[in-house]
Amino acid sequence: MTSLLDVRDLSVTFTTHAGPARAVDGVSFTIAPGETLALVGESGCGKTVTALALLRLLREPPATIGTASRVLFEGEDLLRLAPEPMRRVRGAGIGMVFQEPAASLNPVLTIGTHIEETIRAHESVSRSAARARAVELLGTVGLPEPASLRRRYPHELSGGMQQRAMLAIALAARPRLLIADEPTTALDVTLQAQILELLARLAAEFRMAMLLITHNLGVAAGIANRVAVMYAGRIVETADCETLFAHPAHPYTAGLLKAAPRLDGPARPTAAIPGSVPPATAWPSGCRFRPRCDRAWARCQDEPPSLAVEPNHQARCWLVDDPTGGPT
Amino acid sequence: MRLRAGGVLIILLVLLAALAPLVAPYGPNALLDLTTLRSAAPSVAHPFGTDPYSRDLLSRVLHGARVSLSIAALAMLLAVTVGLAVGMASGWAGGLLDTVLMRAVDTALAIPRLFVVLVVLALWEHVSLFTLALILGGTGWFGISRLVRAEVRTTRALPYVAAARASGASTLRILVRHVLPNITGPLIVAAAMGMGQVVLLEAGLSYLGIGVPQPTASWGSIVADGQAVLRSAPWVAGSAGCAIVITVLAFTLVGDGIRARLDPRGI
Repeated sequence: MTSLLDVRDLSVTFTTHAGPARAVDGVSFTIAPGETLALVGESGCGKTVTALALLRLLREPPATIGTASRVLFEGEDLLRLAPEPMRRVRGAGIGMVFQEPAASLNPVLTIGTHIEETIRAHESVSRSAARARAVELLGTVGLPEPASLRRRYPHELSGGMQQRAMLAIALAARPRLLIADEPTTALDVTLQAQILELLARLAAEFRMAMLLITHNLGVAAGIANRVAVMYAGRIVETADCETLFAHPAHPYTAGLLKAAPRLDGPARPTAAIPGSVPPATAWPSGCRFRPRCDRAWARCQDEPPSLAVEPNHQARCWLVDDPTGGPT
Repeated sequence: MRLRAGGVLIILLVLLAALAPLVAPYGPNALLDLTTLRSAAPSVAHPFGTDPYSRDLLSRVLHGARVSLSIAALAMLLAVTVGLAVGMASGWAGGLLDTVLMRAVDTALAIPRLFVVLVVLALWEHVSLFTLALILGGTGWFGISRLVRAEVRTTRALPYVAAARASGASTLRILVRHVLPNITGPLIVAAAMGMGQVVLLEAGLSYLGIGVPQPTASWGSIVADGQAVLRSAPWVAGSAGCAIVITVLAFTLVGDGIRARLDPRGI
């Protein structure tokens, strides 16, 4: 299967007063057409920076993207694209939904204006045609009375409605890939399920691939085909959804699973992973999860490569190599 | 209140200036009677009195308003345009361009404006009103560009600007649609305050005899005419002086009023 998006060895370094911060360090993954990949990890692991780097939305400087990095979208390297073709990819090739819908909408423009401008940025259609499409899109994302909603301002909408409107904007130019960066984090728990359901439905309806960024494994479980777990700027485990939940190979993934509250099955206490993600200016040497890992042993002083647990399941952990290893 | 008072004054001033040929009882340069009407005190026939050349001061002040206000308006238009362009380029691009532009502006701001204008004016033997406006505008945009740059830098970091970029909006589109509306308020305030300054500067230059050339009536040149007779006929310099004070006051009131309206903490 040829991939829609093929990210190879993506590295992003920020110049900071505390020295270079390698927020994303050699990340590679692929997304097939129509596939949903969830990128999971704690805050500060480089998930959002990865997404912004794909669309070249990072300011350079302070950000620097590694010279060996490639972001192949439909075979074309986005990192080497001229500004105008890159602008056309944004929105029409890859759409993006941000975490805070309230902040991502311009308070002085109507919902309709947001959508119509996106359509007209990519297609030469008349104002009235763009208007008609905006109304249609607002209906598609499940907003009531789309015709009158088109003329409303962002502050007149509730958080859930704003996120639906953001989705309508992201879909306006019919992208083949949708990047959803924590699309439900700012929302009420009761709304989260609705928005996720909507995302899954739209991805199927528009035959759109999706990169879902979340810190919540439960969110990933709901709609992802495959999951990539990110820690300290690296992808530490990838597998398809069922495998990852049934047999996590990396202690970090296992820790995330234990930390997630379960809604189905018997209630059990959640267990937090001790410590927190180190700052990107000072990743630990060797395995980056070593300081927080309860199974760390001598071998972890060397950083493990990506090891195959089985076909289509990789983990960066020496335990894959030697399941009996561990602290003695 | 401030806004309304200032606004009414400005509308009145602009109307009088525009209608000067209809409202003024005499031509601006008409020598009425060089034997009996030199520096005549204000009377019913000449409400502001006459100047040492027996010209009617009311007519001269009204015609002077045309010259002074149009020079100020043209100069501010130029200053706002250039300041907006430089500030946007500098604030949006950042990096080397920003450093070069802003250091140049710093340098320009370090030299007194009057001095710069004097040096530039010395290049011409005779300046037209249009050139004078260009020079005044060309030396008036430095502060505005800094203001615009600061606003652009604040706005460009907003999530909705990133969202617009992610949906494929071009840089020009983002600047016009998302950044410009955020700048409009402070820009209008700066322009209103700047108008008052340019009126003063133009009057100062004309008073020194290097601004609006004689015998064209401008407020500065009327004050200059009145200097020699300041003791015996204070109404000559006084009439134009009052016009200058009222104009500057009106623009400052409007600028201040808009600033208060825009400030959510304002009273």
